[in-house]
Amino acid sequence: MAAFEIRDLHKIYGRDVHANDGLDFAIEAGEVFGILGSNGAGKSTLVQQMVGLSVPTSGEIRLHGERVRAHDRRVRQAVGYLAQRPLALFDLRVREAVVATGRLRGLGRSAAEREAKELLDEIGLLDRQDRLVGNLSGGEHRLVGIATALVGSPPILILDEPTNELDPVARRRVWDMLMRRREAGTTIILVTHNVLEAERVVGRVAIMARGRISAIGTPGDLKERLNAKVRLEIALREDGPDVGEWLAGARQIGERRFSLTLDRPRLGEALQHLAGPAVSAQIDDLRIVSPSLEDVYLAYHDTEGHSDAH
Amino acid sequence: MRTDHASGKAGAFAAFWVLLSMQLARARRSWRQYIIVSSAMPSGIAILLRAMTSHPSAALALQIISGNVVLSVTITAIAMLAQQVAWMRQNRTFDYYHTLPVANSAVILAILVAYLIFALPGIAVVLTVGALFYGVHLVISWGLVPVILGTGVALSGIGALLGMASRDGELAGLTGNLVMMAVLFLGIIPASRLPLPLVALSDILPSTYGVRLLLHLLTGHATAVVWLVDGVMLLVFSALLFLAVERLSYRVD
Ligand SMILES: Nc1ncnc2c1ncn2[C@@H]1O[C@H](COP(=O)(O)OP(=O)(O)OP(=O)(O)O)[C@@H](O)[C@H]1O
Ligand SMILES: [Mg+2]
Repeated sequence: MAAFEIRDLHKIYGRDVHANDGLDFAIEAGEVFGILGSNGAGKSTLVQQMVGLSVPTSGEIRLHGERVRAHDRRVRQAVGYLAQRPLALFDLRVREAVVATGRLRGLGRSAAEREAKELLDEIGLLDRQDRLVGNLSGGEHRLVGIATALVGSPPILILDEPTNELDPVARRRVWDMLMRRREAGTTIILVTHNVLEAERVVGRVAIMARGRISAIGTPGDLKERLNAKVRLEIALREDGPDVGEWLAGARQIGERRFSLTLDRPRLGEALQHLAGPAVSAQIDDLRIVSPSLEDVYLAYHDTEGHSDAH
Repeated sequence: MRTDHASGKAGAFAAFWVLLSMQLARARRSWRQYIIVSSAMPSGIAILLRAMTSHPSAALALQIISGNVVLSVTITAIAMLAQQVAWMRQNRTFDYYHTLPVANSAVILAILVAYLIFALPGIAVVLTVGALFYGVHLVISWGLVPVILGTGVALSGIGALLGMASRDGELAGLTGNLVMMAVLFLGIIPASRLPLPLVALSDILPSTYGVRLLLHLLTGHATAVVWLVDGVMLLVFSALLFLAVERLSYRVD
């Protein structure tokens, strides 16, 4: 059975900000579902409605088949939520924040203490457990927020950009923690910009653009769709004459580095052209790259809708 | 992996206790400031008025002391709490509570009770200063507990309401100060000497009933009638304000 069903969901702020524009999809119990999309695409708006902090303008969200209402009791019991905004419990010590949250989720005092300790150890904050939350660094603050979302082992996690402010080590630690929760059967809904890292963890992703879903599927499926295309990465010599005309359709990805996405049938033609004496002399490096989830993201994050996905 | 999911809901009493201790944690860093802020002005005013009156009657002395006790509660419950609540709204602190399985009424009650507790040291200081400078005998009785509790909850209800309604902490602080002024004036000047419009205003301020009850209690003259009239008014105000704050903090867009 689906954990969450989103049916023709619209959310309009004020008169004309259509932040969610007809979303329709389901998230199965036990899956790790990634939500990607550019800034302002409507991701946080979506998850805020899923946790009952805001209500849809029209359409509906169902949890285990029943409609989610504002401040829904069932959601509050089942979901551990990490907001994009930082946790505001500034006056508590790190350990206290996690223990208190665990207790409010129904853990007894000693269970909450024990679980907080385990979580802080797992997330790498045990040595800072007595600091005031208000005095933490940005990344540490984020980690405490994650620990409060996880304490009490809620069966569903909804995390809005958990890894954004984290250093590479902490990020990896958090992804590992989420993988362990996934193994234990937790349903995880993940808003993230760390596309490359998310690929390790997510089962399916939805890519949002301007309030709509422009692509949805497993990373493999989406990459397969992109496989109709192929990407060339070309680095040019410094002293060569300008070949800008030839690279007109390319995206510049660095100084004198370009990325060119082609329909696969056109690859031969392009390679022939590149092999010609005039051009090849200017090429410093050339790679044919098969698409990553990041490529999928870049291909879909600013499209208008499902239409141009193929 | 862990499989022991939390029950998904804490018992009401346990939850309230956790929520209250989360609020009281504020005082760990700032309890000195809380005491100074809530006792300096009311004590100062009591002393000032003593210096300016040559032989205050016992009745006037008690009016001044009761008024200043309530002013002290007002400083924490209205001026400070209004800012705190406005700030909590800005920080989206309520979102944190509203995604956990706890009753919103418990969250609000914990906030109101915490600020009432923050007011207690100030009350003690003002009572002591008053007794010392005016040389009056104050009857300290158990009746003070519900009166201070009721006045505190009603006033922190006003403070929280101001905080909810204000755009930001600064504005909440300013309106809080305004209300505090009103409480000060109407609490210390006996109703018999007030112009009519101000009497009307004092009728809708719960502090008025708190001051009157306090006055009767401190002189040991709290009759059943006083309890019935002023006590019930205080109760009604506390309940109404509490409900208003609870509803308002639960709005969604
Ligand atoms: N309360 C609000 N009132 C008006 N507009 C809003 C409100 N909240 C969000 N918006 C607008 O709705 C759009 C979607 O916002 P949302 O926060 O959902 O984006 P997002 O996908 O989470 O972006 P980001 O990756 O930057 O977090 C944005 O254009 C934003 O400006
Ligand atoms: Mg967002």
